[in-house]
Amino acid sequence: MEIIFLLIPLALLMLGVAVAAFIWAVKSDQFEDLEREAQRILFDEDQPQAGPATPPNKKPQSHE
Amino acid sequence: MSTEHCFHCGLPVPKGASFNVIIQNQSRSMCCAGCQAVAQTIVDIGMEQFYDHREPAAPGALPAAEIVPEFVSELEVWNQEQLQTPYVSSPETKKPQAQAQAEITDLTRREINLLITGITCAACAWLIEQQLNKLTGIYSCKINSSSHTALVSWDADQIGLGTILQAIAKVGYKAEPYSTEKAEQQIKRDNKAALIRIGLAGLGTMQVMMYAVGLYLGAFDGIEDQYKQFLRWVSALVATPVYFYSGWPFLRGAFNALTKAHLTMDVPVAIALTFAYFASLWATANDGPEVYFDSVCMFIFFLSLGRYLEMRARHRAQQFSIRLNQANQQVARLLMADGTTSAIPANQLRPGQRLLVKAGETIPSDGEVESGTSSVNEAMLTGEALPIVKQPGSEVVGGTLNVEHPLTIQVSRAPAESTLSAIKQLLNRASLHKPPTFLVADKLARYFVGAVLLVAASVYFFWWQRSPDDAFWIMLSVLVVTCPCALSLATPTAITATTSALFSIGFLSTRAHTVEALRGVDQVVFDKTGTLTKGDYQLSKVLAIASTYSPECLQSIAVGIESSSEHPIAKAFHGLSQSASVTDIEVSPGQGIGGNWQGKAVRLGTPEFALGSASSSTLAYPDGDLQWLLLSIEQQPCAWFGVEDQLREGSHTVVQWLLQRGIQCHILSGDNSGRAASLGQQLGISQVRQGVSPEGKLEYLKSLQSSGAKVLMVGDGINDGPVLAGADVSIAMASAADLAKVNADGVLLSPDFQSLIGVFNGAQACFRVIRQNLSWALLYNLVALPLAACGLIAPWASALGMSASSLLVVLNALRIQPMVEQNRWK
Repeated sequence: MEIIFLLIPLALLMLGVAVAAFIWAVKSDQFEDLEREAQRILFDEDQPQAGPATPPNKKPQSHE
Repeated sequence: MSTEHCFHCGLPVPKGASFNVIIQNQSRSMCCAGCQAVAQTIVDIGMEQFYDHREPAAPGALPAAEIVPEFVSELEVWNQEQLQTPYVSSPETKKPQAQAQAEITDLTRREINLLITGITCAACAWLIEQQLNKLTGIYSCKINSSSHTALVSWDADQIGLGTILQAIAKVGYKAEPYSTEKAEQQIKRDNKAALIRIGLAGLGTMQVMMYAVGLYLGAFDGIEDQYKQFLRWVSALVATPVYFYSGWPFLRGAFNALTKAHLTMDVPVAIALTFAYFASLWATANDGPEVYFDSVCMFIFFLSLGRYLEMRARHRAQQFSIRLNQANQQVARLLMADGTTSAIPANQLRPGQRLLVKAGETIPSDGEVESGTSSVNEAMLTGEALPIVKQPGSEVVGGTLNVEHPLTIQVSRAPAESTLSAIKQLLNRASLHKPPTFLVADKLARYFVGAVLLVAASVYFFWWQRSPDDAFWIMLSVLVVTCPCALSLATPTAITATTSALFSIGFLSTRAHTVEALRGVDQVVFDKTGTLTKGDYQLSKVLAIASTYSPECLQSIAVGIESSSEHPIAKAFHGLSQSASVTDIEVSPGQGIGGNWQGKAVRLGTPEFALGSASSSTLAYPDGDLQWLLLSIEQQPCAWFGVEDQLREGSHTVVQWLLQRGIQCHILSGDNSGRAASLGQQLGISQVRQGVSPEGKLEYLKSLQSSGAKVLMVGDGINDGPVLAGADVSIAMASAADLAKVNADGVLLSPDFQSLIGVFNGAQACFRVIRQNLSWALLYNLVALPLAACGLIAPWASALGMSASSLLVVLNALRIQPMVEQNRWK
């Protein structure tokens, strides 16, 4: 069972990484709008629009 | 009878209206010209998929076409740069790194926060983003669909802010610039700090629980000392940041409460945490009997989670009012000496300045009419439903709406001394006297805390005499077991669940205590115009006099005459089918409208106006409590048209429902037309007051409150502001003036008045759940306490019991959502 003297400190290290990652995520606004991001994939560029309604001179748009 | 619903906004389509748009190869009917225009724009920009993706919102959740063309064109003033300055950030205000990154065009880059009304789902946000990304000159646009805000950046050389706002208005949303204030940044910081605290506590709890399982098993099966010591030390290491960082709000709260000699929920929490943490630390160092690190972490995690939910609900309410206060910077058109106009913020006006107010615009300041004749709608201020004619020399009041013609106005009072400010002051005074809502949990906490501390002390004293070695550990297990985790989660979870359930049926509660205050209301005061009635006129009767023309023909002439006017009465005719073409239309404010139909002079308005001076005007008004208009052709009377401000659908049901439950209803109306009295009769409300000033309304409220009543006020106008602020609890209508919305405890977003019943039921359901939760938590404590006092509860059992009881409380609160949805109409 001596192995836990190695494994637990390793687990603690990973805990530290997880906490740091979480703090980073909160500070960089990852949790600002939870509804929107979940649904974004449903809307993206699938627009086989009939007709010339959309002008072609659209600049490449950045989704943040 | 099947009523058709507007494809865009979901409201019923009025009879005879024909607004159609072809969407996805099907003709869809709309309820009004506004929805038609919006839907057409959405189709034209190729965004028809919006209708597939949007969530089936409550009827009328989309803003039904406040977006009249005048409003859209009014937005153009925002293209002027000096107006934007308070809101816009440009490169100079940015950080130096951002500037270093910037290359050529960035000097003209502008960024702004917009508050967008009308967003209901992610599809709305998507639609707006797509619409904006089509414009040239937009760098980026981020829409937050939960806070209803957008961050837009654009190139000032290529596009103006006004054009951006117009583009948003064209797809049916209203965008207003607002500046992110300190308070709001504070909210954001608090939110982030709380999230980090919860995250740390959660991760820490998982780890410590794992070590604790090892220790529990060890306690049963035996464990070598070196491993036990190791696991204890590691638990201590993980629990330390959780205790000091995540637990800090409770420790600080308890300290504050104790220095004020006041018992709150924080006190037993902090005492239990502190004892458990330091005793475990001591036990770790000195090989003591028990460690409670897992309980410490779990307490902190559950409690912070409960606090966080509560805080979120409070923050959302706060943000709502901060933003409404911030947005809505009104714009005035200053008339220069050379006849040109320039736009300035209305709060910078000085007495003596001359302003131009176009038709359809809000008058920015108190003043005197210099030239022009028009009618002005003062409904928001006085409750008077019909516009009042203003001629040169008449006084006009800031905040009222110019209906027909442009007016030139000389400002008579600075904005700070205006009528509107006077009402605001009244309102501030009223809100100071708002009766506080006593929260059940707070009251209970005081007794509970006292009892627990007393019991813990006596347990310690009792065991100290018998076996001094065990005394401390038994007292500790009493404290841990009774730690009011479930008790302090009972109320916030129920209230948070109710708030979000009510939001789904179209009620936004803007104060933390709204839901609790709603229960126990025994008097309801309604405003008349715009609350019990729709606030817009509809044609309800046509009486033909001359038989020369068919009634249909006469009606189509009337529709033709009124088609170009924005007067509230004229709007009764808008949207009716078959309009005759009437030319040379001329409006006489306060009297009527004349024109030319197939070469004949036609007039619609008061009898004196319609028949002209030639007639002796002895024609009597027909019976009926309506507003009558006479149509004449070549000065011969042809037909009477009766219009009225119709009762809001569902108001009858709501009033009956309230009366059945023994809740008294009152009507307080600002106007003096007698309509309020007949409305009261129609609805079965006996207490009716009309012609009441804002001060009078407040007096009435105070007299009710002084007799011990708990009053709910439902209103929409600026003149209702003080009462809304002073009532025990208050609800503003969705169409209400911003001032009313900010000061109400909740906003009824759904145009369906019957949702009010759902709101009442929701408050009841919430109270029931709170009561169940509290009784459960108390029961649990009553059972566990004696066991712990006898020294029978092991640390693992107390941790298990505590989490199970907390979980039960949370699950119980989740039942509120289905309850609210079921009882929506009952």
